[in-house]
Amino acid sequence: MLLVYHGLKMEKRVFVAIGVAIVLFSLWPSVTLFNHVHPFILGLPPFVFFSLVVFLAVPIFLFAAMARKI
Amino acid sequence: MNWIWIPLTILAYLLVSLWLGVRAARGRQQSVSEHVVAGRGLPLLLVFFIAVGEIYSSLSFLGQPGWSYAYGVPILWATMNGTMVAMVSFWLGPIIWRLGKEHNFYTQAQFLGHFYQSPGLRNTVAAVSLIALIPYVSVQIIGAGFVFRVTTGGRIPFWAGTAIAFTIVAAYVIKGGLRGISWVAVFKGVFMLTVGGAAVILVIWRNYGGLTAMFERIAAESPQHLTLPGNTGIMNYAFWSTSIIVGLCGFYMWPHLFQNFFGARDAQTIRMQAALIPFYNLIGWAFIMVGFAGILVLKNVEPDAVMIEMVMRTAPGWLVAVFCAGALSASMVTAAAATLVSAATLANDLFQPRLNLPDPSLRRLIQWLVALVMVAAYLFAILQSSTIAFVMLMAYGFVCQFMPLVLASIYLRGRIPGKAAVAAILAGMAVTAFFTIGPEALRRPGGVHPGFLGLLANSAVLLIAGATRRRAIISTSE
Repeated sequence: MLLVYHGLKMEKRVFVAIGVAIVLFSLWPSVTLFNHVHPFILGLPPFVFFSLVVFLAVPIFLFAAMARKI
Repeated sequence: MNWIWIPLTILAYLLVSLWLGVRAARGRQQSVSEHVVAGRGLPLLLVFFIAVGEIYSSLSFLGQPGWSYAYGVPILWATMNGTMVAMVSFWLGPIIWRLGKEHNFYTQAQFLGHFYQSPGLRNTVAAVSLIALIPYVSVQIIGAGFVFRVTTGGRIPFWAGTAIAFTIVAAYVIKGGLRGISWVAVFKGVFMLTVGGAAVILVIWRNYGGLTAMFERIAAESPQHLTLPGNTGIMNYAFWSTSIIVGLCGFYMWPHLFQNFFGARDAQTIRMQAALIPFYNLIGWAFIMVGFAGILVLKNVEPDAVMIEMVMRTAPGWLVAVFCAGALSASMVTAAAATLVSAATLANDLFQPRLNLPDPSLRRLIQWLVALVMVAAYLFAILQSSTIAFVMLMAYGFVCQFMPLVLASIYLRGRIPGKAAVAAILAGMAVTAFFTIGPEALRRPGGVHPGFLGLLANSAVLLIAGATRRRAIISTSE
């Protein structure tokens, strides 16, 4: 990751950091926060809700990156 | 509804696919570039649908609902991974496309062989690609076989149904190449979205009245399906996390997905298709919900057959018939692309450096090899028996070994010798194989995905080689 990060302009660095943060969110230890049966979040079990977060985060992130010509 | 309507609908679907695939090649230049990378001119519609067509295969249609039925939430790694890989496509796709255009690459093996100036690496990558791709095509054939067997109650045997379906696939791949596959992928993509979506809604609402009601019942009667490590304890945190990392590294390293970047018209097309992928991926998530629906409805059903069983129990006859055609199409597009890339890799990377054929002869060789690869995959499908999702999960461990080499070819160009790259990929493969099929007690230590351990070994060899070479260059210049 350092190789990719090295030599980038500040705005690109921010986008790389957000992309990495989205990936890290999906891994341990974040996943432990949602590993319960109850209480349901928006009518879904916490883990199933957790699986939907990236469906929102990734397209917003990528369209923002395109808008900024990253 | 009489059972015969299902195979007849499937046959009609197959004939439409054949027509679309063959028609795409009409009026086009007969060259290797046109056949293998569609003349590097595919627009957004085709690039997007071929990407999602290849992503949403038997695995998402049959294997993933099978896993949610058998184990529960652990399979959600696949949809999360399938969404996040859009970021990898957005980042690496335009770079790979530009390099492919500049150097006229057709295959991943050619790409890596060129940047490491190593024919040995080109051969190694080609061989590894074939080792990964032929079982991958077989998995698609197994998926198609399930559709025939389950929907006709065994009246059409596995071998016969798949032989008919994949003869048609081979025909349009031979005639239409990547452009033919892409038009079939558009047909399949729209078909899956509409028919698959309707089937999912029907199954969940008719059986439970809604998603929340379904999960409330599962939480009360089978709560172990709703948390890690899942029913039967299949996936701990280590396996979950390393599966996602391996998936992110491996996804676009599948040779057929890597090669798709070469077919795009421009870099912006690749970025746009990447941004759109998560929206389509929701249908894969919805298919997984059908597996959850099956937990309290079906008892002792073969996991890979859950999706079709649920639709057959719930939907009207006509919807079952078109749904089955869609299920078959899920296998066909993926198999078509993987077969074309296998044939192109065999011809372009293993035979062409020795034969030096002119363009028309190379194109004809690729077409013949399409048939050969399809027959090999068919035989493999008949002989092996693991469940679809498990085969794919382990195969990821092998293809992800290309990622460190691709990254080093872009960001450390000229700093890693070809021999070190060969050593790195072989080290990664050996470690992955050892922890996948080695002694029972050592498989998946601590739940860590074997491909992740292979990636560590692979990266370590690359970095040590890079550092050693740099030191040698510095000491020579001094």
